[in-house]
Amino acid sequence: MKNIFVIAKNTFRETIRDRILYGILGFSLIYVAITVLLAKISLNDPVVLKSFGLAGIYIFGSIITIFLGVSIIYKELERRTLYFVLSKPVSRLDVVVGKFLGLFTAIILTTLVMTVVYLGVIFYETGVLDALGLLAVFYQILEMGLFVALLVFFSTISTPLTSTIAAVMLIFGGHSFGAVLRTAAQVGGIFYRFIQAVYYVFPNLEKFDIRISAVHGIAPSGASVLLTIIYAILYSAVLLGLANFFLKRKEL
Amino acid sequence: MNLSLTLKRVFAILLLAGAITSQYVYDENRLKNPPVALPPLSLGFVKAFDLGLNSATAGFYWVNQVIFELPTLKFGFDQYSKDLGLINGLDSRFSFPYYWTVLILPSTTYPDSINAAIEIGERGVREADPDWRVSFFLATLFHLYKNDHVSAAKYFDTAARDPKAPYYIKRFSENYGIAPNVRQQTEQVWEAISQSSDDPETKARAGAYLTRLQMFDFLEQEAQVYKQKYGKLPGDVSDLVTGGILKALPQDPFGFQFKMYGGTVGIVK
Amino acid sequence: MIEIKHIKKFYGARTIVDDLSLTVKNGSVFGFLGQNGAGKTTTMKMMVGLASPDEGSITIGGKPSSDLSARESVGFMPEAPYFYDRLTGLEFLEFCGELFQKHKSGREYLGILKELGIYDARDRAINTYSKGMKQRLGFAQVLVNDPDYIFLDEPLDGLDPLGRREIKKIILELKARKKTIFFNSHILYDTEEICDEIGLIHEGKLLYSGSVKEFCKGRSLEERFVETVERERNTTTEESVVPAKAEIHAPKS
Repeated sequence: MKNIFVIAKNTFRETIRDRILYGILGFSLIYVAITVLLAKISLNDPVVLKSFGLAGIYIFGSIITIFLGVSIIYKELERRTLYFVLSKPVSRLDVVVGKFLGLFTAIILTTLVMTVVYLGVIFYETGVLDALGLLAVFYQILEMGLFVALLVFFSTISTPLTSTIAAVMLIFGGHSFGAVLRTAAQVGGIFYRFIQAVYYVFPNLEKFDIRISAVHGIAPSGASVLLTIIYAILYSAVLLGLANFFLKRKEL
Repeated sequence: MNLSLTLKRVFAILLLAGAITSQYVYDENRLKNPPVALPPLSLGFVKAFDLGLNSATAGFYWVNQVIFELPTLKFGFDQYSKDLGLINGLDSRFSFPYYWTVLILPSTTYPDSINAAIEIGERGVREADPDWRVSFFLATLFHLYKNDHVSAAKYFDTAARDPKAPYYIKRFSENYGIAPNVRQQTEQVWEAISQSSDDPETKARAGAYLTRLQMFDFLEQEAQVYKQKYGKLPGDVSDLVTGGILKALPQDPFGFQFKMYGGTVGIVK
Repeated sequence: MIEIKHIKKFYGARTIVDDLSLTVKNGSVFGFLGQNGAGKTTTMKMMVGLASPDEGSITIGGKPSSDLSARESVGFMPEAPYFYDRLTGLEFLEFCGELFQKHKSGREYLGILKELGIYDARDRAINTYSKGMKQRLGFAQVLVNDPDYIFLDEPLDGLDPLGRREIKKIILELKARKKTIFFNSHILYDTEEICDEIGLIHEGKLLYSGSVKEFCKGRSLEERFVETVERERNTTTEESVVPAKAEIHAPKS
């Protein structure tokens, strides 16, 4: 258990020292600040301001997550830095969970930095603290957690390029499986059953998107918040378990 | 080829200047060509690729593209209606497109602009976030163009109940119907709109409506002066000039012509 | 004691380690020699838990090598090590140390860095280190838990003569402290100097295991190594050729 946190701390330290991360973060902060200009174009409509700001945090957060996560374990396997770790009293599970926690913590930190700027812009324009926007960011952090677990899993079974392509496809798919299912329901039959299976097996990211409600001042129910947290934790656990399974079978 | 360092630097600067010039020429060329509408995008297609960022996509499309289609309806009303439909489909609670359409559409050349604006406004009241501007501008349409004071009163009341409505909007809305005549009421409507808006374009439009109404009052007063001089009311507004009452006729801010009907001024398209 | 009993390792259809058995006594320095691709690194990986034997068993200090607890008293230095480039030398040592239940203190890490001659670079990012400095850092992290069993894969690789002398000195000091050291090496001259016993592996098979003197028989280790490997190679070639010869000379019935 202790080793998980040692590895997490080390992973976090390595991650936040990556200069390219600061490049992407810099762009994201410029973007969030530029939404002030949007306030002028949109006649100070807070809906436009909030939706652009939250969209920016999501897009840049996803780019940072994919960029950092696709090679997180792959790189250690390729460069054999894992030899130092696994030759010590450290299990594969310690490595998987530790790397997940370290990377997730770094992503939470970068998301919070972008969120602070966003909240500042909204407060400056509207005089109100956007509490629902903060909740939307919390949901985004849950989504990114699931996504990090997914990337850790991919990293144990494929190269960074394949992982990136799969991650991008899943991020689009994860937000549109619901629409695909509704369309398939009209077709019915075995096709619908197949799509239903895909819908339930693959990560469903739609539930993490409460941005459209948040910008219109609608809060999710307590039950929905709880279910979303449970889903994120359970699915992430499944993915980390799979990552551990494949890492154990990997010849180092 | 062994170029000196200076020549290499000059060459680099020329390359950059060439790139900048080509961009400038491209922009100039684009300005001369008529703008082209974006190909029609289906709601399903956009939702499949926007990563769930529906409200941001709706806002982006509205602020960057569709809002500029008014007031000239440069691609036609059908295209505008489709674009607005896409935005409403992505985010039906987004009130900006509704109230802006209700405000601007009536002044376009689309023959059925009033009914279309009313339909959009009523949809906005049903579906959008509670926004006093949607119901206030809709009420204005009923008052001005339909003479439907019942519907106008209903929507003015809806506007007044929005906690975010400014004071003079609430004051006007809650006192709708008590002014002695319609024109006075209408002047009050536009006065309220002008005062409540920070947007220069909205203020300008409200100011233009007020100016026109003041021109009506002015011309009707001058018609009485004409009657005192000539013993009868002028048959046409031009009689005020030919009769020496006015040096020149005022210009309607919206470009319509004034018409005299038995001492009362109206407009002709 | 390190006990390896009849271990085998396959990668697909290839046999990498073939029925290898040997014992390393506590407090001794054991040199594991062989050509490239002979199976040295694979054997060492199985001993430190990076890989598992497909058959056989390995125990270290009486515990199976697959047990995490066995590695509490193990230090391992991989060949041509890669590091976490953005960490400093000291941060890397601290990270390695924290993975053990019992490890040295902050001041002791500085002592290790001094001993290995990279103290001045302790606060520099590892990606600024030279190859020799990285090799020394790789050795330094072996010592963070004061292990009883030390596994070194090509510890002298990439070091200048001065560096090699320093490392050899440290190995002998560790031996004096009753540590058991098992290392792979190509540099036979240095191996001869510091080893008590050697093992010779060729194409996954152990050709010799025992004292250096007995193996060398008065000649240099390099001479004897080359002779032994070539003899084994020729024997293998003859065995694969002999059935064809037997066919030719078999009496006609």
